[in-house]
Amino acid sequence: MQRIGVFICWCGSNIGGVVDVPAVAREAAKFHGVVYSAEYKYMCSEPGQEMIVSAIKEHRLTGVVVASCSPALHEITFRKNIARAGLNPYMLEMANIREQCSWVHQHEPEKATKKAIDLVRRAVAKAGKLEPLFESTIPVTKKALIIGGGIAGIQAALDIADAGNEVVIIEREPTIGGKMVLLDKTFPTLDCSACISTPKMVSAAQHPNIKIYTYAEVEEVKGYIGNFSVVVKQKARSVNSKCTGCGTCWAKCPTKNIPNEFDLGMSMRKAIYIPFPQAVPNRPVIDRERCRQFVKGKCGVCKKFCPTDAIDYEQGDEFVTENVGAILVATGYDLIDWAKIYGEYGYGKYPDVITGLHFERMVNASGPTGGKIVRPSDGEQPKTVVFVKCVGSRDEAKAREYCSRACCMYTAKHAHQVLEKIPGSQVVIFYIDVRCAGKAYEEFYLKTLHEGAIYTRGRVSKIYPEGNRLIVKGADTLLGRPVEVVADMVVLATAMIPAEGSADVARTVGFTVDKDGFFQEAHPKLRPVETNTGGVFLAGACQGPKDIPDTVAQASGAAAKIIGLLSHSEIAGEPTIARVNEAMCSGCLACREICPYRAIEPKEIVERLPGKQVTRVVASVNSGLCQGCGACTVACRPGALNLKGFTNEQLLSEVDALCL
Amino acid sequence: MKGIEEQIRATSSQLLAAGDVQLVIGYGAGSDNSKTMPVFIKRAEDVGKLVFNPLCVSNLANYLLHWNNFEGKIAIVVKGCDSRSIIRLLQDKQIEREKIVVLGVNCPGQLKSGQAEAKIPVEAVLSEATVDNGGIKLQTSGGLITFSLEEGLLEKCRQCESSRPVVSDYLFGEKGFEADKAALQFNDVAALEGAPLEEKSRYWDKYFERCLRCYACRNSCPACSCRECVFDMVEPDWVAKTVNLSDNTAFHMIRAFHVAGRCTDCGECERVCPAEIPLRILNRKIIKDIKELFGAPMPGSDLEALPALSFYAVNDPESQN
Amino acid sequence: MSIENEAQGNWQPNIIGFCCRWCTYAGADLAGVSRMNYPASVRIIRVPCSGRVNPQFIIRALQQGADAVFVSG
Repeated sequence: MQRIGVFICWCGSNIGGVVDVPAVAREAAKFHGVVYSAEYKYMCSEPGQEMIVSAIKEHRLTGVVVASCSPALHEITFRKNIARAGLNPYMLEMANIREQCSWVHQHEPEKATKKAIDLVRRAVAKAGKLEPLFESTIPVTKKALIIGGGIAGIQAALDIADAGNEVVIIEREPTIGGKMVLLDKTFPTLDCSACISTPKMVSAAQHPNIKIYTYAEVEEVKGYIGNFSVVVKQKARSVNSKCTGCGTCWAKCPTKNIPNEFDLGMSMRKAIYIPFPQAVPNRPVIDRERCRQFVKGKCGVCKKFCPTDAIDYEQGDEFVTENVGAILVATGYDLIDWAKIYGEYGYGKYPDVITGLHFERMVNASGPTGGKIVRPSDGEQPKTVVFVKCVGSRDEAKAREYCSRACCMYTAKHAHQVLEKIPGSQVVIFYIDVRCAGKAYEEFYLKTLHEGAIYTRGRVSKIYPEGNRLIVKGADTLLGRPVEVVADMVVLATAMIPAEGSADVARTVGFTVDKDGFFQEAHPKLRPVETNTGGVFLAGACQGPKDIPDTVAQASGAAAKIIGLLSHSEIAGEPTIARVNEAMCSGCLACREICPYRAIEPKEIVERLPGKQVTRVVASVNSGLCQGCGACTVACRPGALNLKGFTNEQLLSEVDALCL
Repeated sequence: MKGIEEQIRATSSQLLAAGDVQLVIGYGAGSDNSKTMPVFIKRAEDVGKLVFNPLCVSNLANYLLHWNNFEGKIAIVVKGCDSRSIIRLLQDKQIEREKIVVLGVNCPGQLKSGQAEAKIPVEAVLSEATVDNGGIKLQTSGGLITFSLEEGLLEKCRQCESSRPVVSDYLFGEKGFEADKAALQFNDVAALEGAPLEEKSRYWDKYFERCLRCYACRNSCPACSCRECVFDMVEPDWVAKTVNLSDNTAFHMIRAFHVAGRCTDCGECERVCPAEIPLRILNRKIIKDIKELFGAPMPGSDLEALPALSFYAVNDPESQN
Repeated sequence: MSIENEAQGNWQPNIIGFCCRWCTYAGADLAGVSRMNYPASVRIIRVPCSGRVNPQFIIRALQQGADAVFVSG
């Protein structure tokens, strides 16, 4: 038999000004199982908490009801409070007589008092059925896995590894570095992107705590927070670890003229190649779809010339299992395929209509043109360059509704670079709005404006060729008149979209995506780097479009969360999870199909029957995966599954108490 | 139907003699000549006790639950309607397919129990029976007894979705009864759905009021496979054990919910109800709703199709609105 | 609610709400913080998820005299 103590809070006048608190306390004393009932001005205050502690001891209470504010506010406070008196912290039930009573019925004090009594009766009924709960402990593997080796993944890897944890990076491409190494100078400081990102790539590669898989993908993820088991697919590189990166193979390779993806097809590479000279690892890969040895079955030039016998045509895909405690997803973005959507800009037919990323490669000193801004069609220097912003962004009708956030700034940077590098050049920028919210961003935009960039507010309706130039037709909505510009080159600021294959990553790892396919954070403000799946974190543009400073900040934020998780050798598991009454379970496993967290597994048990033993299957709950939603308990007809802290017995008694 | 009966006996004899099964669950002669009852045959020489005729109305699948700790293999006689229970028991993992041999019958249709009792004299021994569009004809030692389909055919046969078993290892009988398409439209449920609220309330109150809470409906139900039933529990006391309209109504609603998405409309609950509560209407209302809401087939008609209420799909029609 | 109140047209249904602690229960708290008003005859039971609400709880509430039940999550 429970000995329940009821403590009713005035919360100053918040409750006491509406509800007749002494009357509630008097009524509560009469409820079944209640041996002590008291009221106090502020139950959460030090004297209030002391009052509960001494009452527990004096009256040998086994359960406590606190009628005050919402449990969302002070449940943890009072749990700790009763634990101080030696009670199990889960022997507490709260009655919400402030948010759900005095504050919403302040004009009906009599009804509010009656309702407060009802709410306390419910809490007492549940308290009578409470049972001590114990947090389980989940061991934590002190190792993190990072999917995506762009700047977000690299930054987080360095932060986590510097804190003394092991890190594994999985990168799909043959090199880490992501999109940032493609860029030329970065706004607003105009420092060279490669100069600041390649040292980080090298640091990651040389860090004793970091292991990097490039040309690899995540095949399967099993387990839960602290205990993930990840199968990594190492795609066949055809070059083994004996490679020193000397470069003989790609110098000798006879298969030329393959468009280099790294330069967006503006330069050519061989069939055995490294994407760019600073690639990490500095180890080539054979493009098996183009290599003569693979296509025609004969060549073998690279193998012949390789001084270290590193070429391995027989190499197959390998699968490696990594056990980790946390997963960071940093798969970045891709640019929208504008050519499929924007017929008015020529569907990609006109060579001199390029994207911002093409421009980045072109203006980069290590790029395909050695840093010269030239027209792809004839290699001539353009005199008039038109920039079109929001191509695919902020376009509900044809593409994406959201703002891609980085384009205003990089377009301003591009404009500055044209004006700086091409004397006497003219730059026209079509925009919807100029959004430069960031430290030193507005100043950068104004500088570009003062340098002579012509900002024209309006959308471009058509681009078409005339002679060897392009006619850009648009509107100046500020002047309210059509505009026509004769341009030598047009640069489109295309929308950022989730990286190709990111939906598969979300499905494999097991978390949700938002309406645009970006990865869903657990809370847009308060939990921006976590997913709803315990132990899985997010960083960078995979969560939503963002620029480099925001990406790096978010990566360090996620790293801090992961370091926090990995700093424990064990974490406490929520005790409010489902449990199985094996004697009652018939093994139908309806619960398994219902469970959104895949926390229910079949388990064989041996049962004694008269004269024999039988083996049969019952459901079992994985305490690491169960999130305590209780859906399984409803799927289970006899109630063999029950949810600790919200049991069938407790809920039925609450219903009865409230309906009285 | 003599042919079907002989085939059942011959096959059972072979299976038992060869040791392929250790038990045959089938129909045998009843306590009087207007009924059959389940028989459990373990020896080949006893197969003569097996019968098949239009009095084999019950669903034997439930007995597989009674025998689920039996160490040998079991052969069971099923009609089209009963075969759905086999699928359901497989889906609920209550039986193992490799331990069951299904003796399926293309069912020609079954006779209403009340009609059989009224017209078949106690001493009249059945020798042959036919069911066709001309009606139900029973050749007995007391002469030919005939029923028109209108008066004699069981209601659930009239609404039969498939007289051919959906699962079987042996299949007997040429061609089963084919229901009129119009009879498959849940008109019985629709008629009650359309009635005013008060009328519906009166309708069910009238029946639930007289429920004895004998739980025969539950005990005969092949979907009721729980090891412990909520209606027997004391803690938690899901529903009071008292017999009154309120608790009886709660009992019937919970019973119907527990078989929702799993009830194959075999009709056993209604057949065994001593208070003659039209439980099939309640079950069929839920079957109809699930069909309309989720596009799910009749439970038990497809081994691969999970019960509509027991899994979650992102493209669930319910989550689209 | 008493029979007299009902006769005077002041009848208000007794409503039991099953509210998910993560969303609707928090929403009900917000209604309080915002000092919104609703009838005092609404009483809330906190559940960890609307998926936890067994139809048998609803039947029980109606049987025990609730005029209506809402499940929200």
